[in-house]
Amino acid sequence: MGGAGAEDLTTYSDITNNPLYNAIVIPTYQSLLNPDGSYYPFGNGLDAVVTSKNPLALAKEVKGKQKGFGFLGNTFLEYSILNNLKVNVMLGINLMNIKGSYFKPQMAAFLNELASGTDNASMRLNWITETTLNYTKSLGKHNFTGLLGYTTQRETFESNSLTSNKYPNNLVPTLSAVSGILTGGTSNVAEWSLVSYLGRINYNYNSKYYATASVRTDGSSRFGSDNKYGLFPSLALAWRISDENFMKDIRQINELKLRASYGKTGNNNIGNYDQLATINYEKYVLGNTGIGGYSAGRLGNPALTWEKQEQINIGMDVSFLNNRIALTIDHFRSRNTDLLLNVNVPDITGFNTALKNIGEVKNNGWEFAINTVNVEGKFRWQTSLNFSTYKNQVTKLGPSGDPIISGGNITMIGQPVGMFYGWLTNGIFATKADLDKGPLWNPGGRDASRVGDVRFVDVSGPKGVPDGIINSFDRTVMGSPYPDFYYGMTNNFSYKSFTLSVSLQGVQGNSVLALSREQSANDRARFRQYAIMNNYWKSESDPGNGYSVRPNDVPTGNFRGTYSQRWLDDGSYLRINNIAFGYSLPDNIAKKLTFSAIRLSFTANNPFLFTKYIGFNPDVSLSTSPLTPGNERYDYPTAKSIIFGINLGF
Amino acid sequence: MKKILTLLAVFSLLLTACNKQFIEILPVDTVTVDVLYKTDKDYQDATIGVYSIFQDQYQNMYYFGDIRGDDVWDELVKGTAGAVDNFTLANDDALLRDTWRNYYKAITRANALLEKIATADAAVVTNKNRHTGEAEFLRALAYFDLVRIFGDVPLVTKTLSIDESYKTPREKVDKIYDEVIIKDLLDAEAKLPASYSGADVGRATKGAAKALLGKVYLTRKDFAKAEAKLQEVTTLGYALLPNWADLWDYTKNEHHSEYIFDIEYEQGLGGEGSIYTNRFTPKVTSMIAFYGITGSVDDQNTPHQVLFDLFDAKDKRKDITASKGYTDATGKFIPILISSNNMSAYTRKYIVKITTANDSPANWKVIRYADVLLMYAEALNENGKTATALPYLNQIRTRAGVDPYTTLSQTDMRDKIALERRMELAFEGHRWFDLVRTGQAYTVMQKYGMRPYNTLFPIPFAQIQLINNPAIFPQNPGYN
Repeated sequence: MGGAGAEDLTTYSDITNNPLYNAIVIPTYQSLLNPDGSYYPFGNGLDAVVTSKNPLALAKEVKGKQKGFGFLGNTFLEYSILNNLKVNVMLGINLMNIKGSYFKPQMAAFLNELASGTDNASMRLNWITETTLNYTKSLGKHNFTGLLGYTTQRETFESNSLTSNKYPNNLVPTLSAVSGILTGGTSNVAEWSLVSYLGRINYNYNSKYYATASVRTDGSSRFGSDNKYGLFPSLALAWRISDENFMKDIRQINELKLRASYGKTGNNNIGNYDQLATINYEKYVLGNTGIGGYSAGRLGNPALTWEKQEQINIGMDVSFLNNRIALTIDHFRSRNTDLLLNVNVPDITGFNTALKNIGEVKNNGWEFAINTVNVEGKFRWQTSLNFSTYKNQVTKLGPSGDPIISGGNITMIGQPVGMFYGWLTNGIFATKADLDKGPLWNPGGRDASRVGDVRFVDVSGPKGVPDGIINSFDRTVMGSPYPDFYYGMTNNFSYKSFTLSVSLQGVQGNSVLALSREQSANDRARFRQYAIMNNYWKSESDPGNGYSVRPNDVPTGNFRGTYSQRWLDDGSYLRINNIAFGYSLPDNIAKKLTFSAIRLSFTANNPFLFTKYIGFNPDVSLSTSPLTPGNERYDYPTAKSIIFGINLGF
Repeated sequence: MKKILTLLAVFSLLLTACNKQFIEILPVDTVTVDVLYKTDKDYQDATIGVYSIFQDQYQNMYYFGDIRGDDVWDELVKGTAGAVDNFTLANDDALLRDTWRNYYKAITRANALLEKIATADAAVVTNKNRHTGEAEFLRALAYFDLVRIFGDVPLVTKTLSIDESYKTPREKVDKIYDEVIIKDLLDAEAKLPASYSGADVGRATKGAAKALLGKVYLTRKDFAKAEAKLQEVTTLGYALLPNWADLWDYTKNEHHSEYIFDIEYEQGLGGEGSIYTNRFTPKVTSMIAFYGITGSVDDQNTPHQVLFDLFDAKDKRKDITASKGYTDATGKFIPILISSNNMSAYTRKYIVKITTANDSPANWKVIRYADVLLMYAEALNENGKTATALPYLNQIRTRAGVDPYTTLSQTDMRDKIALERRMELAFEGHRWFDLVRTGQAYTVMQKYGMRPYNTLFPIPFAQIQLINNPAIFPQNPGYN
């Protein structure tokens, strides 16, 4: 039992306080520091640039810290009722405390915004009990194990946060400086619980035929009273063909196993009280002071229940040539029903979305893994390679089947979940002759497309056919956030006391919606832009690279149209994510130095990245919602690290 | 330790085993809405929920009331403001989406309150009349804005299920006026108190309901009822502030003799301030520093030259309403340099020192007594009482320091009142609605790119797409 950890996290809920965002938008011709060493205030004095805070000052002067202390422990009790019947009782506890503080001083580099500070704390307590009855029995070559169990789990999360912008000066960063004048405060409690009953039987005959059947029912506090429980059966079969007599003589094959399984699982990954019509707290000004009140926060849905997934999996494990080559192949097909989705509802209900069990998604995929020993002996070289590909498709959605549009993503029937949605582009209008061919944005309007503007693709119109005009009817599925395939490879080499391991990992064929580039290009042309905008359209005779538009202070031609193919980047990448080199000193040298062993190591994490993607990190994982995959917005780059180590054995 | 944990394990099993209550968890930091609407305080708190949504929506009022019209434009032609100004606003613009959403949120909250309070015991809910009147007033205001912006809209006066919401049609504007706006305001004027004190100041009053009802009648060209209703407002003790500039001095009390109903904002309360000051200030560094405005400014709401040209040189309203520079501490006028980087003129009606970005104390004046006087004069004139109307118009002029009119013909009076409304009420969200109300919109705005159907804005595209039933929920003409 035991275990403790600490973490140090700094979060930026407000993008204008994010140093990375500000570092991207400030002009590079202005140095960050004044000659006297003070921070240059970008928001003041440079009318021609976007209002921003000094990123260096943000990085150095803002004090933000989140510290955590955790405890993880479990214990169990085992009692044998009979020889082959046991009771197990297990209790696990996971406790995490986080304490944080934040202070942003008032300074010109921060647009002279009032100094503000936050003090927050949270505690997460999660405990689980598991009681199981285990039975094992062998009758000749028949082996049984059976299990009956009961588990309970509960999590309580309490958090509070106090803020103030009433600091008299920048000297004291804690809230004790504000003389008790707080400008914001919250205190939250969130709880969930889960109770499960389960039964499972394992059977095998002579380690040749395997069967496992199980059934469990889970009850979640997150669902409505009559719909708390879900029933989830599963069945798995396996056949070790290589142990059959007819295979015994085939010496090239060491092992051959076929597997098949069916299983149903549930998902309750929603907010703790989403089934309930809870209230929101509201505030208004009366008598020149803030007065609190409430409003209905959402539509209640007592019918809310488990999202289900049914999956069929078939697989094969095979190894041959004295186990030097081992291959695993898996194929699965699954169907998710009663999806827990926030669907759009007409605004006249007073709400724009409601959480419902709606829709159906089908998935299928292939996974391959191969492990080989390429060279045996003093020099040993081992390779493991994996490759996988997945596809999903929405088959049902909402009462009227209407698509769910979430920013630049769309979830619609017949497509994978959360495809990129917007205007397709086709270069720029390089010449007047090009422009005359159209299609135009808002023809006749002041912001109509001009020469040098983006040429969008005329996909459709109000009558369902292309109409020569670019408007909201022309938005369409413009790309996929899902890779065609994922792959990874690890090579291990060893020679005498030297070891070397190189692993790489990559994806191929997906797109990334680069929202930070969209935002920078959305500002006026004289603001700082990405380098790819350099070779822009200047004239008909000098049309630039055919991608970068006419420098644009007053936007025309929907240049700033938020979600378009202009902001879709190839997300394919290959990352060498680990190189580890080790050397053990000969024992006699170690002994001379009074150690039993000395090992030197060198490890490089994420040293190389190969990609066409121009942002920091193609492996975007910003959004947590399944409806908005592949969105990038000032994501931090993956940290690179180089570690030298000495291991001493005593 | 291990023993203790083991004991705990067994103990917790005993506690939780077979306990149905184990997976029944109600929230601690919030409650479900059905436990509310019991006490008087519950209803009072529920009205806050209705008012607060107007704080969001009225930050948008200048787009509809001012930028759309001729006196104000979006000089830098940026985004939504540019598109509103030059009649190119796409039907999927966030402004339309939010506007529709905000008003129906307000209506839903008012409906919930009114449904529950109808059966409440007046002995328990001691201010039953007042809460009812406030919800009715706000619901009427929401619908009045909705029909003026979108035309026919769904008539929702009770809590709506999701299924019902797909089947609720857009109803004719007249039906909305008759069945909810006028009905609500008549009931509200009877139920609301004349005034409030202390921490209730800012709630809707009897005078607010009457004044809004007068405006509704005037909008519908029901001049007889408008005259009668607005006449009632003139007997309630309202008076013009002697010094016009005090209307825009935010260091003074905004609830003065001329105040009738504002959307209330205040600085330093953690997000209760308005955006007007930051939004309407030109990006001129020295000016921003002189006024002491914190945070970025947005260069929106430029007074058009036609507005400058309206004013007499001695008009006290002139420099605050529209200005091309500022007067520094030494009394020197510093003009805004003409540049494509910043707008060349601005209104000073919302200028005040701002210590936190977008946290201005400036209220939005939904209706003030000067507006009532001008509407009353208009109603009188339309009813043939031109001479009776004259002194009301002249009250406004005299306070502004300009010469009163002597006798005017009915037609001249109509024109002079319209002109006076432009000068008195610029940047307060009236001009566009006045143009539409008086049938002048297309005549005046044609040269700015208006087409006849632009009197209404498009219904938000997402709602059309979602309901997907043109028979009951069509788009406005011209926007398909």
